[in-house]
Amino acid sequence: MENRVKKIYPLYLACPSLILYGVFFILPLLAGVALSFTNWDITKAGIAFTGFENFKYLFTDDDFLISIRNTLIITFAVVILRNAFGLLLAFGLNARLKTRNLLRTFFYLPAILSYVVVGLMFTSLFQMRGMVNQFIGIFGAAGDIEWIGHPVRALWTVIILDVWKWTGFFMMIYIAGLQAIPHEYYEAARIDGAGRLKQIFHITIPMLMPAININVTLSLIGGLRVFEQVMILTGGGPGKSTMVLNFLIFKVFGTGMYGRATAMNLVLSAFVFLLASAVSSFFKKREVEL
Amino acid sequence: MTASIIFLNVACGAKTASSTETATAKTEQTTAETEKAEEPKKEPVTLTLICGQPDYPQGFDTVLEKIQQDELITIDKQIIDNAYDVVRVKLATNEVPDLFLANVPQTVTLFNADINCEPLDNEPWVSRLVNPELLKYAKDGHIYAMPLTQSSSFFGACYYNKKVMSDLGLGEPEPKTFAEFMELLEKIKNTGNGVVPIFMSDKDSWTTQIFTTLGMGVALKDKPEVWEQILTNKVKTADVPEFVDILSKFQQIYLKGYVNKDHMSATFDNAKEAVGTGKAAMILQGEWVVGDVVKSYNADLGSFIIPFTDKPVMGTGAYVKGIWLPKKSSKLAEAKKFINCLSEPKYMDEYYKQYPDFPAFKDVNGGSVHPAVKNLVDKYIATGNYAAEFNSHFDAVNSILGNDFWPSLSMLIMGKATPKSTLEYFDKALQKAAKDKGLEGF
Repeated sequence: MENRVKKIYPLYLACPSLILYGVFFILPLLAGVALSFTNWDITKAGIAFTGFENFKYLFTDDDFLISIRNTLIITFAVVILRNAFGLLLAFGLNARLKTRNLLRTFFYLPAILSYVVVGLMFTSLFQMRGMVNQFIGIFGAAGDIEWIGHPVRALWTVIILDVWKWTGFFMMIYIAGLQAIPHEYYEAARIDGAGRLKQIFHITIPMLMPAININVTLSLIGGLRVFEQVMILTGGGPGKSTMVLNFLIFKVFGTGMYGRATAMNLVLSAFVFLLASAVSSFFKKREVEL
Repeated sequence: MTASIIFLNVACGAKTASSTETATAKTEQTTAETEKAEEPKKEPVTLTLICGQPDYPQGFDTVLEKIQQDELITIDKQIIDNAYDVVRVKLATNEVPDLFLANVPQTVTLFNADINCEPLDNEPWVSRLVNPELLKYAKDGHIYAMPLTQSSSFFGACYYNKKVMSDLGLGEPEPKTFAEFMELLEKIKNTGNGVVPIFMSDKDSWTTQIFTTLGMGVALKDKPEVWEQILTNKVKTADVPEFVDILSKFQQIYLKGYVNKDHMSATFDNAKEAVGTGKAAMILQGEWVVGDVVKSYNADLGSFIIPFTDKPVMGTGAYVKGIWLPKKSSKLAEAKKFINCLSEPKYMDEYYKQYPDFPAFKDVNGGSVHPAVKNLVDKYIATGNYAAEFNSHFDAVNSILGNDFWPSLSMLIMGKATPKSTLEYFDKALQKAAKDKGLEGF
């Protein structure tokens, strides 16, 4: 009897959270999946089941394909750049510097700023008469480069904004990972004659795998779900050159075609789930146990 | 003796008259008190109003405060981005606001107003409207919103800085043909000492499309049957030579360098600043820009229309801002009372004292409208020399304008698309949207 009570007791305590989770997460998720197979349009009466029509439409729609392409470009770029800069900063700020705590704070600060603030800042910086062009002009180059209004450079401005905002956050996770590596491994490697580079590739990187796993997975998810940066900085333009999946979903919701927008959301969610699972699994296999 | 009698009579008469007057005054006072007592007691009520950020009229708070004091009606303003989308969701989920602000009759199909909103044809203010025909929904003839501040709106023209033109020796220009317009821009470019001939703010795509929506509307003024053919899929816009011509003219303005270099990242606020401070000679806009520029920059503005087809025809909107009443509001009666009050001269006059305009009601004093706007109304609206803008013909599928057509204009002005390919893109978007909406012919 006592054993039975002990087994059921944790379940009782978890019930309220499970109920809330079920009502506010699982149910809407299942409803969303069901609605993605309908022609739900708030400008029309009635909802009818339409099978895979929404999905067939998506993969023949130019806007959807363009947004997938732009989303993948942004994702690829931010995964590499966030992690590369984050790791470099972590190496630098893990050293014994007097100002390292201050510097860590400075680099982390952008992560806590609102996207609206950052977006307005970048809009001002990257205007034709903005500080970026003025800085470039100092070195004699043409100082009238169009950033946000150029189809290719607009996408890179979005990427720069994203990397600037989040590198500090990833730096902190890498610093935590570096600090968890026992010094004895480095001492033993030095004694065995291993140079700095060999230590990095044979000790640091393998031992840092859990942190790399977290960071790469988080930046992959963040990249695929990019929205605020585009919303504030470019609005999907010029033309459709920075149109991303989440922003397209937002636009389609705005037209009242909820069935189609929900189908797009389902495709995006599936993308995120599959890619994040694959990447996480890849890095998990390479984690080294202490 | 006689004098005494007369004196006594006069005194008594005076006393009588005085008594009578007092009695009369007392009777009147009693009547007034009775009337006041009989007047229905005003209960305080709060009504929600949803409105988009750019749509909320400046200076409107003064009017609302007055109504609150007099009628005890408080308006809970919810001024938000994407107001139209929020209202549509609320109408679909029956969580309706009591009032919302939107263009009328342009957005009737957007809000399914014939199902969701109260027809207001029988309200007392309708008989006082300057332009009731403008407000009627073409399909059923009902009026679904009370016009807020204007009898008609969107007088599309080039609003120029008079001082800049005067300093360049150009006086008050009024080109009669499109070629003359281009010559004017060329002159400003060559002799302006860095003054931008025409400032474009293409980061805000709604400003980019002003040229095309005006021009394409004017281009078909004498061929109204073409609109019906386009809207029933008998003709594609890419096959309308007038449209190709307008887009070509639009592209030329950019390719010839008549616009600011940073046009792709410039905003509407930048445009107002540029023309207000004299960095630009003119901007192509609607009349709403005049008040802002004059107030903020103390600039003197003039205006002229672009002669898109070498004729004196102005492109204009077929809508005004209006207040709509969802049928399912729990305070429909109070909402009607509010708009009836609002329409009265004692409140509307208060608004126009601050922002002169063309009032929607005959007995309202609109104040002295800026000459740059009055000039256009007198020359083109009053004489019938105007045409409805291109956008007004696509109300049923208007999402394709902001989502597809306006962004595609960016490619055109950067020289990465041709006029024909831009229109073909629009046709494709129109096909998709019209099929989704189940429009006849698609």
